[in-house]
Amino acid sequence: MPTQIDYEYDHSLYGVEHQSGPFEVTNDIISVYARSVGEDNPIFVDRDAALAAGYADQVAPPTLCALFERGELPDIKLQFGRRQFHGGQRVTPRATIVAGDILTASSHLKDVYTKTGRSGTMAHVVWETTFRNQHGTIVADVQRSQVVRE
Amino acid sequence: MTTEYPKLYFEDVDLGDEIGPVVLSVSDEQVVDFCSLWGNPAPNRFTDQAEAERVGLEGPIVPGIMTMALVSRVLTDWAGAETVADLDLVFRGSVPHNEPLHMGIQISDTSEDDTGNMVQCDITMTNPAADRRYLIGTAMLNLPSRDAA
Repeated sequence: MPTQIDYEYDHSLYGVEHQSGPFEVTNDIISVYARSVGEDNPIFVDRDAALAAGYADQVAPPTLCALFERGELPDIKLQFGRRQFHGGQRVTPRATIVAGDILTASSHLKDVYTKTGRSGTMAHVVWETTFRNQHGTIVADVQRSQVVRE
Repeated sequence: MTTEYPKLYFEDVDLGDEIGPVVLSVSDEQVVDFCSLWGNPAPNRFTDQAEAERVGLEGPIVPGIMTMALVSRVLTDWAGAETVADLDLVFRGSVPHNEPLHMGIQISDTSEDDTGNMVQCDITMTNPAADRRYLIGTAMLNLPSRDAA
């Protein structure tokens, strides 16, 4: 049940799943991701080390799938605010992602709510995305909160 | 069956334990590398001074999902590669490039249940010298037990 707020937006988006992908997780994507954040765990940076440890291929760090979460999602037509920023992110890994996996994403609008503090009112737009691999296994749930302010 | 040996066991941690602060810094080159992965090539507000100023920022910032990846890295460096069961972050301020980012982790709860040996951690990222708080959040880690080793 969505939170009731004072500003209008497109409520018809609730209950609608938006599909995106496929996204191929390559060794190159994992390596660049790992390098850019200073990752040095062998299973994240070295395919041979991951194979030696019993994995099917180089392992993706736990939050890598958030890279693919920025698919085209509809405008909720919120009648409030002008400035937007990324207010929060939640990742719940469900299964190991390795190079060669093909992910698909299914996203829905989870909630829109407002908070008012010293700096004024902010609206939080929360999208929830479930990632599955090529076997249909859920590999991660991701929530993204976009904040809109006056 | 994978054979990666854990770095940390459930029995090694206790409520109130603190890790860090771990001091990180993100270079311009790291952000450019990261942005190349998610369809946001330079120049943009994450990589370019003029683009950042155009949208009202003091300078280029670290993307939220990259900041999350840094937090995840610190957690897996400490606890082991596949221990993160949940990571939930609230971004309180724009994270700048080339500035010290002090990350603190404190264990706020531990429990053993059907899902595993769970360790809840409170997370902060700040720059005390600049009086900046960049994020708060929680992580849930699932640690192996020495009993099962």
